[in-house]
Amino acid sequence: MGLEHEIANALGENIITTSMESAINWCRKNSIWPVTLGLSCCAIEMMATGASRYDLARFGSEVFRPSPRQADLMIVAGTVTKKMAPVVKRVYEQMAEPRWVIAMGACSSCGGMYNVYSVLQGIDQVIPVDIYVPGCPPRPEALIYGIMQLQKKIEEERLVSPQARAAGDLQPALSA
Amino acid sequence: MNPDSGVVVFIKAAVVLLIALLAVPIAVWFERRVIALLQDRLGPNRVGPAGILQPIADAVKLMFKENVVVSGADSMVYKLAPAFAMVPSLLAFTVIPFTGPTDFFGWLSAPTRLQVADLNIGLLFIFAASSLSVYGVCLGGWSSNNKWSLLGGMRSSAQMVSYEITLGLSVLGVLMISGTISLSGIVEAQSAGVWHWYVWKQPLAFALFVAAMFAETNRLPFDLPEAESELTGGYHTEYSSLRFALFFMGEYAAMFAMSALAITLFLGGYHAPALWNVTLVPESVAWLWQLGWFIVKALAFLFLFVWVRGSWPRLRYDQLMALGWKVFLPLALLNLLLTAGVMTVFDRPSLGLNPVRSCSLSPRWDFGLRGRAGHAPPAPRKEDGVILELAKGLAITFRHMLQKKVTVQYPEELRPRAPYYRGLHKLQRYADGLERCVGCALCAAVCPSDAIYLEAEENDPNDPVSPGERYAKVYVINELR
Repeated sequence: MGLEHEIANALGENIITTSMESAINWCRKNSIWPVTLGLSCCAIEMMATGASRYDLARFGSEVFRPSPRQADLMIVAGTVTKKMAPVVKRVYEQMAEPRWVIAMGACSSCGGMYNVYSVLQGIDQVIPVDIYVPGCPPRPEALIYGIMQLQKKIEEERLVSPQARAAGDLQPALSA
Repeated sequence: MNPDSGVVVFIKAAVVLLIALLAVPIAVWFERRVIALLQDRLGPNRVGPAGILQPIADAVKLMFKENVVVSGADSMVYKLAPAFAMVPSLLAFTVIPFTGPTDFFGWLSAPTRLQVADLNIGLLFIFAASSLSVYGVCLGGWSSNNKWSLLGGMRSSAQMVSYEITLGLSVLGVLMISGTISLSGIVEAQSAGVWHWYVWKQPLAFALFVAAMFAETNRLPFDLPEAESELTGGYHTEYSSLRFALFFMGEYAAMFAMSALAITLFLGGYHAPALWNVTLVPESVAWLWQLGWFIVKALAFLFLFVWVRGSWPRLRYDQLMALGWKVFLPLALLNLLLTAGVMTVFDRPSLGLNPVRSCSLSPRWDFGLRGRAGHAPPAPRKEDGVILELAKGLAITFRHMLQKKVTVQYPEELRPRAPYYRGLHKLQRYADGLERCVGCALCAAVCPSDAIYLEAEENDPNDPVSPGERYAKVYVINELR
């Protein structure tokens, strides 16, 4: 950062200097497109988040992409049964890097109230999770707060390879 | 400088390309803001003033995303298809006249238009170029090795080919009246004022053209190729990163190209409406004035695109085909026949020799228009109802656009919570101020994400923090871990 400040001082106030990393991170955090993945009741709250009252569009995240290839964020909204888990994992694997995951609600965080043979006890058993949003279901505010936390997390990311990133503690290891 | 020299043509090409490419992010921002207003929302407002930097964030993000090439894809075609979708839309801009003849502040020796190539077959060129874009969509869908992409691509090809016929037939009336297919010639033929614009002489053709324009650009209510509820993403399902961005930009560029064509053919091109005509501004800056009016008209079309998107549902596929072949095509043919008939009976234009003369609005022409309206066959009642409903839909969304927005700007303003709400993840207190937490740390133990950190300490019996024996000295919920 020292060099950056030196350059900024030398150029004066009319020129903005920034590192490639922070510029790209700024763009990434302001354009988090979620993939449409509503599994159960949390999806209703996710829709409410996108609707007029809470308006996820304010953060540039209203672009729910139907195709995982174009999405940046997977909001796992709802109960993940063991039958559904391979599908969720596959959708995650189809997403293009960089990708993030929010486990929305108790079910996708830890199985929630469904402590039974048929329900996955938290999606972190199959895919890495960046943000857990508690609640059953979480209110739209909670989801927006989760996305804001994710924005903070993206801001701090480094532009390094996934392997190197996995070595650090910023993000869990991504399936290469 | 000679206006025909290569340097001038190159600079004009660069400027027009710049206009076309700049139009895309502005259109994206405009669409996202206006669609939000139509839906009682605010839209992107966090990045830059009024969210104006949003498309830049989107574009840069897409640029730095992983570029997926699907295994089993026809690699060469797969990589070329997005360019095929983008380039034809840009090509269409080359023959659109953006301004009238000008010498650009005396820089050129003879006046010229801000138009890359003043082809005498400009309109044919546009149709030739824009029908190429169907290849991008079709090949993109085919090469992706994905059934949804294939279905989307096939749908799109059928749709674009069907509606291209309506598009072509509807402009024939304009060609017959103006007697030229040079776009600058058609614009000049409408120069006498707002009442000489061809939208008044060819209202049916204008309506058909606009409707077919929506279908050609795959916009709602004709966005079946993308139909996310049935086909995930349609032809661009497997595309990510910059290749997807190219499809995206191609769609918006096509919107602008088609709007520009509609403006040129029906709405007087760069001419200002009569009252604010070019005589109001000095001769030397007239071209800027004209460019400004062109942009205003293009923005009006863009608003129409967004407004319709926010108001109407998508058609079913068989409805789309029926509409194209059974309603629009006969109407376009009817318009052609009526125009030819009226011209034969009431006017005898020299065939393409003098466009301005043949379009002059004589009293006889007015009579011809009234006669045509009188002879138009009455539409079936069911269609009447549909059109009324569509108009109602537009009215409702427009009313909501002007209303106060219901959005609560969450991090800054909070909605009041119901008193019985228990979902708040924080330390709760009893009415007497004592903390409910007795420091048992069970919550930290069961938290699946280890997000709760807690340190317990013995209560001081004289000054208890909680009613139990122990209390939480440190109680942190960190969703970032």
